Amino acid sequence: MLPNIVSYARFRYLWLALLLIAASMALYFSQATDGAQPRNGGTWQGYTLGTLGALLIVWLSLLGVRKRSYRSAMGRVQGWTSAHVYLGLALLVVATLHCALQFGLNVHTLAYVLMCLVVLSGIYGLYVYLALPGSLAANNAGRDIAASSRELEDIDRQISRLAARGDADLSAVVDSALELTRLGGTTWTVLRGRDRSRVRVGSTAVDNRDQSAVIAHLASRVPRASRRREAELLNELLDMFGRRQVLLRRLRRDARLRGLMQIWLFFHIPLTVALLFALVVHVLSVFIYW
Amino acid sequence: MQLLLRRRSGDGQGETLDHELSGKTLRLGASARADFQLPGLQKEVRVSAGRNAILRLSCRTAALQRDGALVKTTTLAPGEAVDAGGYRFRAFAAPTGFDAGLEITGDANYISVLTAEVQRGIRPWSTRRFSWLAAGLILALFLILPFLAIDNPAVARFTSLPGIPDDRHWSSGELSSVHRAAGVAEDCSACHQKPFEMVRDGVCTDCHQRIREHADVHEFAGLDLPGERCAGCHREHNEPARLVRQDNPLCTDCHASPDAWRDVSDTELLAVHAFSADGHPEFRLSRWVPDGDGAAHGWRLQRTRAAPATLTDESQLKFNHEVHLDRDKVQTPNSREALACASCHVPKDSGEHFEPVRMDTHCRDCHSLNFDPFDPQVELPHGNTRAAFEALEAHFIREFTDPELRAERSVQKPRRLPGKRMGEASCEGSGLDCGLREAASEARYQFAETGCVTCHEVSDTGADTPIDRWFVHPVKLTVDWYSQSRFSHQSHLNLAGRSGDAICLDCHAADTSQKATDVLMPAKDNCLGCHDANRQSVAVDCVGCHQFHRPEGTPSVEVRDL
Repeated sequence: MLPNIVSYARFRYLWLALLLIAASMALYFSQATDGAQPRNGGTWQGYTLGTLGALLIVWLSLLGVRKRSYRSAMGRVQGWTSAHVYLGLALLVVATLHCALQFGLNVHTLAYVLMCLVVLSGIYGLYVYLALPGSLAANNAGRDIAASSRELEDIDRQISRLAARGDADLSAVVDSALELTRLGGTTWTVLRGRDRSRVRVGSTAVDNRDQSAVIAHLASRVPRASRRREAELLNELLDMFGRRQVLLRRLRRDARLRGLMQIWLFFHIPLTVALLFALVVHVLSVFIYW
Repeated sequence: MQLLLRRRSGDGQGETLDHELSGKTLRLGASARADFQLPGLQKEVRVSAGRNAILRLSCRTAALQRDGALVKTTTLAPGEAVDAGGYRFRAFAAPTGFDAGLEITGDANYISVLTAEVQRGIRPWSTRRFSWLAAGLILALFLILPFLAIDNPAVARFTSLPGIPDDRHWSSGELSSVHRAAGVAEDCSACHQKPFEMVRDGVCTDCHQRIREHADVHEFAGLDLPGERCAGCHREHNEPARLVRQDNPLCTDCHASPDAWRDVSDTELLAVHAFSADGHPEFRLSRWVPDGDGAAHGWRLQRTRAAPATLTDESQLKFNHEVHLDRDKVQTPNSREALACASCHVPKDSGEHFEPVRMDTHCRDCHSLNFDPFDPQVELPHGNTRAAFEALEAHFIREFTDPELRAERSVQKPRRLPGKRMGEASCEGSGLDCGLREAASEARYQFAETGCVTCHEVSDTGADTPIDRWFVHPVKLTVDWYSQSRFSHQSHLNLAGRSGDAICLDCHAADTSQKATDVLMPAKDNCLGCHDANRQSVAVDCVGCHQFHRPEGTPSVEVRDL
């Protein structure tokens, strides 16, 4: 089943957008090509398309305001978002017809490029909204982050307790593995799902990506264990680190998926604001030098 | 501020320790300079007092978690709480002696730091700061700076630096090549003189001083021709460059229905829709017509809407095109070949009209004006009747007053030449009388029988003196037969499969014309053969033949808003 913002009110806004595109095309092609001007933003049809585009941009930007006004009676946010998606896509056509594919190194093309970037980031946003929640739910297997972190805390407490039973060297390695575990980090690290965890073996901290270094270290100690108790301890620790590995993977993937779902807004919103101001410059500059 | 800080360890289940802190702003964190140590708290939290026991908590970055949102600053009334880095900060009503109370629970162990990081999600930059930065840059660089530079030379110097945007970035398209000239192309204010004001016509006429309106604006005052801005038709900054309107509506918007606006007395303007058999009226032929007998009152340019074949050329010249194009009758003096059209009609550089046909350059080789078989080198001057008479008199008086010449002439009889009068062999009387008599008879011969009269209309006034007796009608050849249109002979001289005179004769039937009164101009039908708008042939727009800015129009500098 399609999510509601796509199929809202039986694709009402899809039809509205298609109607808008058809009307814009008709307006565009009604421009005489043999007249005083080629098809462009300066004919009355061009001005009409431009006004339509500007109104669309302003209205599309208002979604951010509408989302925050919980008491608004102006339609449901779902409906607004559905219209936002379809009319935003239609804007791409309207604005392109307005400029008639005339580009240059000027403020007008700047506004156009910003608009394209906003729409493209929006398309990405729509894609992740449609594609990622399923992966996110599958990854978390019904657990929320709080539960997972409680589980991690529990495992780590058990590991600490177990490590205290080993010799000083072992407990130093294990403690450092816990302490130097990293889940988050920079945005880039989160989005790439990079694991910057380290572990201190001896005097140097080595890469402990996916807990593999500490697991390898523990495994290498098993054959060298002089007493049975030590071997049992190592086995228990290996078991715990195995569980920890799975848990960390899940948390990291969770962070990555949610990062991918959030990142586009860090472009979409500032670019929208930039677009609004570029639009003002575009309109004003046309009339300053009329 | 006196703050009662209550620290509860663990999840609030553990022991509780109260601390008294004083200071204007208190720092809680993990660093050495903190007023109160909270191990593992990465972002230092600063606490200051507001009014009515309200606490103000702030963080350098948005690390305070309140109602699900991350903020940099928040206020806490007693009972309210905020989370940061694994700790929970809750304000409570402090006992007397304290300004406020703050309870801290939780533990920033590395796991809570880890999961807080995961929970917080990504934050590559502040959306708000990025938005304002982008908006500010766009406004400053692309609007404010270029706008200030219009009137401020100091700012203009700055924006002219490479890489700094200026008002040229407001341009919506390239200038047409003719305007990419020094002083215009680089300086927007050369044309855009006042912000928010359309370009005035005076800016155009500053350079285009000789441009004229479409018509006499006083005669057509009702049309308000100067009311239409130059830029109404001449749109700059358009891609592809299109400075001059080529479309038919430029003309047909008005000329399709002239009844709607023309003066009722002007019946010559007929409706035009396109260049087709029924969409365009027959051409109006322009001819010079003599006013009065022998153009006594000068010449009138007469424009007549009629088939050229029904009209006569009133130039007063006698000429037979057919004879001159007949190889058997006329040949070139040197190569003895047939004359070609171009022997006399040489196009001007404009490609539209022709260099004038002149007696001296085109006719004299065959039609020499010698008159005395004794002295064939002597020719009459052309174009001046009085000078011709005087030359005749001077010639014959000299001949009859010089005894040697007179004797020689009476003995020798020259060979008789066709078209030449045989002069008197001998004359009884004074040299002056004989000379004048001989001159008068030669004049009669030249003006009435052969000579001038071959090509010119000559009237015999019957006066006594020869100089008053013969009147040669002046000649005025029409140069521009269709004065309201433009035509390029150049571009029509390469008609497919045709060459030489055949191309000329396609439109001008000179090879069958026997009289100079024949008008050899083609009519509309001739043009329609190729250019009929209804037949998908080689279409021509109105401006292909007609000019909008006509010579008859009022000079624009006189009537436009300058």
